[in-house]
Amino acid sequence: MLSIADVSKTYPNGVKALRGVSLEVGTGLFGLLGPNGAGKSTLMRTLATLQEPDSGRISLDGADVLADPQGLRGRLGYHPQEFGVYPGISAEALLDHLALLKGIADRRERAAQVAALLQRTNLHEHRRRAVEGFSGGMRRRFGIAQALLGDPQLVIVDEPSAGLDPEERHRLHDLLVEAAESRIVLLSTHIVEDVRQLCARMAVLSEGRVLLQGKPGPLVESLAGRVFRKAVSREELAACRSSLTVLSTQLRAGRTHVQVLADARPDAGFEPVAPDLEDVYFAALRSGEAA
Amino acid sequence: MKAKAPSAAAIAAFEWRTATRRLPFAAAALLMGLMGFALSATAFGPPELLLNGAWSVTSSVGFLTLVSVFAAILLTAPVLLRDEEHRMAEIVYTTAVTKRGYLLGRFAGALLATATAVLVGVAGLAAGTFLVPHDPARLAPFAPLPYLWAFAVLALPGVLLVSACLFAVAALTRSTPATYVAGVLLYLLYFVAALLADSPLLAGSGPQSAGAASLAALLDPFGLSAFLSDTRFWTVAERNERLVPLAGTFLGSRLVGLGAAGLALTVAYRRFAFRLAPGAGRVAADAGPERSDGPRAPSPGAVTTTPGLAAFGSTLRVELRALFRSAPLAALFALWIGYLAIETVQSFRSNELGTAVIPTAGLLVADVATALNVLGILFLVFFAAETAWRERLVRVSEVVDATPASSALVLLGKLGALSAVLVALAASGLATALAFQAVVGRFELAPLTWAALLPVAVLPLVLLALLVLLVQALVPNRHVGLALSVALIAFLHEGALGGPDHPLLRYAYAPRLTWSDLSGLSPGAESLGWFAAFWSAVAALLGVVTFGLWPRGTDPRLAPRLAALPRRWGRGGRLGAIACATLALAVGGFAFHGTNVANRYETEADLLAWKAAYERSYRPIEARAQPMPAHLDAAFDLEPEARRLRVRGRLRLENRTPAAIDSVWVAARRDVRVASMTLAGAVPSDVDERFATRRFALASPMAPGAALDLAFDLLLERRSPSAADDADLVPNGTYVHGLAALPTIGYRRSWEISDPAARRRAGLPERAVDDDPDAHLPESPSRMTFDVRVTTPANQHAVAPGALVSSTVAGDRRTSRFRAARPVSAYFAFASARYHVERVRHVGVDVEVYVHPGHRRNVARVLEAATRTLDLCVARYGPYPFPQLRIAEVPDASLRAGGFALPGVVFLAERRGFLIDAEAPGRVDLLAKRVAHEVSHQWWGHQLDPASGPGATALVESLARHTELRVLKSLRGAEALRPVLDHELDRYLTGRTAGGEVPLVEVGRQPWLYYAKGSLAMAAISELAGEEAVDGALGGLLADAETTGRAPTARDLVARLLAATPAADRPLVEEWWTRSVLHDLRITEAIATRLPDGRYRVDVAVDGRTVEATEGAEKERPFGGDVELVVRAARSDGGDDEAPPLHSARHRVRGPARLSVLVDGRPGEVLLDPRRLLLDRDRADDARDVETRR
Repeated sequence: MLSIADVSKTYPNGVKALRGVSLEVGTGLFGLLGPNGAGKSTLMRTLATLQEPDSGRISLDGADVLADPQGLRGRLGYHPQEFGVYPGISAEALLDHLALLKGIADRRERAAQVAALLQRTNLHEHRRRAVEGFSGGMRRRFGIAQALLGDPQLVIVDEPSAGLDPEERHRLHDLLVEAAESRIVLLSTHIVEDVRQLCARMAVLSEGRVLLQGKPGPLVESLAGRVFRKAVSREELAACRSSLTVLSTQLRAGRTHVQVLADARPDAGFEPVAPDLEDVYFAALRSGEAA
Repeated sequence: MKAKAPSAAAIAAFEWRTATRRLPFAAAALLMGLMGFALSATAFGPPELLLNGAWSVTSSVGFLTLVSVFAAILLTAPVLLRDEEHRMAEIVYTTAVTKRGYLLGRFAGALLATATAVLVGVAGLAAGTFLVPHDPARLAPFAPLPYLWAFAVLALPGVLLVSACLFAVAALTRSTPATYVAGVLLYLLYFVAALLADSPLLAGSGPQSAGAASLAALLDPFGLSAFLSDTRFWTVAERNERLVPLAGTFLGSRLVGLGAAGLALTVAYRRFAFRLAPGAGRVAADAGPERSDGPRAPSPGAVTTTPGLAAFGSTLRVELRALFRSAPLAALFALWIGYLAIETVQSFRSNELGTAVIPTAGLLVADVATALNVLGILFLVFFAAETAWRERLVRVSEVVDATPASSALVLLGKLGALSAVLVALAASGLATALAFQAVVGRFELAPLTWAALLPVAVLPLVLLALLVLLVQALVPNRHVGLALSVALIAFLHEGALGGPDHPLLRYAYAPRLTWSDLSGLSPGAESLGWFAAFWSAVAALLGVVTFGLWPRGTDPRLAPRLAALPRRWGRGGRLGAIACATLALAVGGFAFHGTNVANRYETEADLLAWKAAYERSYRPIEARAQPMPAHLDAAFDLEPEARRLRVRGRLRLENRTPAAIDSVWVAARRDVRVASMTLAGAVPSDVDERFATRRFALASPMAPGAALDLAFDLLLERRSPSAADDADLVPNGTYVHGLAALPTIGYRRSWEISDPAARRRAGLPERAVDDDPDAHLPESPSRMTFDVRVTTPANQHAVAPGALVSSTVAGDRRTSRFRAARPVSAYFAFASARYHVERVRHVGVDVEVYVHPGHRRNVARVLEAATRTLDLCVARYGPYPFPQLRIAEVPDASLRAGGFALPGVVFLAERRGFLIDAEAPGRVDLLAKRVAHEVSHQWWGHQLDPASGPGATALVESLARHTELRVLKSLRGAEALRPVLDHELDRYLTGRTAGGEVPLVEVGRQPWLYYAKGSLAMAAISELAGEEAVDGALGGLLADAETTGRAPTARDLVARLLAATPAADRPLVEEWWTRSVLHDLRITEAIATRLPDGRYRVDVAVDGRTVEATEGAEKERPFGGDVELVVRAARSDGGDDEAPPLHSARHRVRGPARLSVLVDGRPGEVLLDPRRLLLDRDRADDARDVETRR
């Protein structure tokens, strides 16, 4: 169990990236959803021991992570949002190097893990090629492979599917699901679909605060009967925004459809719709804005 | 609307704003400003020049230009490379900017920033003259012109060239390390050009090759070599006032520089394209299988241990691969080997007077070590920055930082990789040196000597690598870290710019390596070991700090890491830090005891203060009558392995003054322990420990003519570690000067400060040059007899002055007894080593050579030169007074000269003597010259002992030079003298620029006069009067001194030379000896016309100027006098140096003149003053091919 309690972080330039974040994350895939600039990467890097919070506590299975970052690193797999590689080094050699840094000293054990991960990430036949020449999807899979080296208890994956084509995204999701069978996998993303497909539990982060956390199903259910949709003109949209909680707008056949959150149908033009996770996300963001 | 491409000026303005607001610009400007300030604060430059005079300012600005390469790298490399480094390239390259605007604008911005930084340096230079108190005699009223002129003509073109080259390399390679290496290349180019321009092979060997030297000076990208070469013969007054003119080689070098800059920019422009660097955009297609629904691969096991040595090994491999695969490092290796090859050839094939030296393993290793120190630092500064930042540069740092691998292992891996490159540099340097050794046929297998490179050269660099890594761990910008590393190494390691001096304060200090085949690395080896141990412990502590502060994660700030240091260390780190600190304290404590307690530690300033205080305290006793040493009876007991010498004996003192003496002062050197000292059985009444001076108040005054015995028991001991380990007492190859071991009587003039500027600073009165007592022999106030026993281990031979009376072995000790029955110079020195001895008996004298067993090669030549000199001197000047003439080899470091003669003995250096490669063809026979010179001192100096005062040095050294030339001519022929005299002329012209002129007859301690002008004078007078007549005059002078007992002066010599010269030529003899006249004669035209009778009329246009220095002022006038004109037949008609010339006569010339002579054959060449009867500044224009007209 990963426990995050009241973690805050303000950067030297004054940006308040985290404001008292508290989360409990257990085995399985946990989705951290939030818009750009919500503080997701700051939280991820903090959990990955790459920077220290100003205050708060983080523990993994009771072990204090902030007091002993080295202890966590031995049980951690980290896939940064962006990363580069040493030029001219093959995927296999680079994995081997990282495996050594992770403390897999036994040569055969290391070779076995590297080979298994290359297989699992479908990179086996590219193992002799330099990683710097990999395509975006291959590189992302390589990132997952290195994160899984050494069978970590906690895997942190920062925005893994950004910019991937649907097929690559699918492959990546399979990898993540498989990896999460026996460990905590913390996934940060701004794509609601990722969380819907993958995560048993989730949280919404915005402007450094946790706005919401729970299981996607119940969260969606909690909005049942409170989401309404209407096709509106441009003037009407402005009126809606000022008087109602607009969750989202969509263009359909050139007309703007507005989706709102309300305890009762606002007017006859609105028709009730079944809520989905996206509505949960936007509802959380709107409640955050209102706060 | 079409977007308009931005102008170059707009881009330059943006660059300028960007550059000047970044940390590197501030760092570069600060570095330059401090450097400039330090240059004038530390009074950089020759002490005889005005600090803010034109020449000093220009050379300081030149130095700043050299340093500006660092600024240029910091400011130029990023302007092109930052687009890709910061992933802006795609955006920038696709804008409307034109290539011309982009490149020109960015280059202009970088150039402007660099030039501004240099200008800050120049301002610092000027500020230093105001803000630091200076000797007022070295400052003229401030004038901005020299600073601005030097900036404009020296700094600006240099900066332009450097920036253009770096810019071009950056544009073509898109690689930061490659750009760094280009900077290193420019330095190497400078070194090579300076080496060539200043090498005796080109510049020193005479006027003929001046052209080659200026060609080399053109290569120097900084123009310094050209500046130095153009102003080479400028006098002090010229240097203070004249701005270097844009003419000659200097102008050439500026034009070459501008041309090269233009070329570099053109190439950059032509080859640059708005494309991403190769590799950056290359993406592989994923040919991977479709989604795998097959059996899943096995789940990875969970065998995770704490990463240990394996992580270190893997990091090491990754770093090594990155380093050794990088083209920049390959280029650096190529440059290093090229530079070392040139340097080695220069050092061993173009030594003193262009001679060759036998490259022994030890000498090669010492040279490689010295060169490696410079290159190793350059390598570290640039490559360690890349290494430290590697993960962050390739953006894999977040992945690596999140692994459990300890920062200590990562750091060790990086240090290991850097060390491996340093070892590879040392090994490749050594291989280059050995290849040279093999090529000249002197290869020897000496693995132990080779291995000395590791502790001597590689270890200090490894320790510096750790310092650089620490700097990079602390500083959040690698360019700033780079600049800071340079400053720290200069200040803290080199002790430059007011840095510390003490070996325990200078980081990674290693004593300067001197090698001797006799004594090996000693005496430095033991001190080196202690300092290496101390600094290794300190470096280990720094290493622990570095790993504790190693950036881990994304927070660039240092403060949180500092706060978390104990936690980051963990128990192991804390224990390691304590262990390293304890070790450093323990070893440092021991070493400090060695440097400051067991030995005396003294900075240059301390020593000067001590000397000034001595002069103030004791100068008054100089006027007091003191007795003179008349006889020394002493036993020298040498234990070389213990580096200990005990001297017991008696010095008989005689009162040769007309007054009674009531107090006698006796001084011993401060490092001599005085066990006992009594005068006539009485202990001293005062002992002044500070000045090691004892006063004996005599119970009854010493009457004129009376004698007393000074009995003493002294101990001289050398203990390591020591800050300045004296090379005199060593296990093999001991050479002890008399003054080191023996007491002296009265005031000791050699303890005064001799440098005039330092005297002024200390507030001491000026000391006239000609009143220098130790001008030719240090502190030899009288002559004495002696009887000395030297006891050494039985396997060593002692060599001392006088006659060797006996040599007996008892047990494992050998005692040699040396005696001088007739009074000789009261100066004593002896050597002891495991010598190989060879002797021949010649004209009743045993000529003996004591030589290192490995250096027998030249013994026959040494014997030949010595016997030839004996022949000449005995026949011409008088008998040799001892039964033996001993010539003994001693290490260069303790002799500090090529050779040194004492009565009956000549000490000859290793490298500058016995290791001269006399078999190398086409070179001056320096070995014979040196042996002849020192042997002739048995007459000139040891028999002819001149009256002290003006001209005394000429009687000793100019006459030794004369004899040397005579011997050289008899051994190698008249042609052999020409290159020697060319060197003497060059030495005279160079020497007079700094030291000025006095006539030879008044010369004091001015080697460019008593050696160089003295040689030329004696050679000219030998031509005028004939060698026989000159030798007769010298023999007469010596005989006269013997019979009258009156010490001769230079005036006596001149009188005899005049008497020996035909009356018509006497004014020339006087010009050479009693005036300071320098001519500049030249042939401007030589045309031959065939006459109807078959003869030729040769019309020669000559011109001449004459400079005469009187009372320090120089006056120039047109030449007026007789000058010899020689016409040689054309070579095709059999005219050569041997054949009699068509015409040879002296002609009267006054100012520009046309001479016309009739000759019988077809003329080929005309020569002006070929016999060097006149002192002519430039001999290149004294010969001209004749143009024949029908």
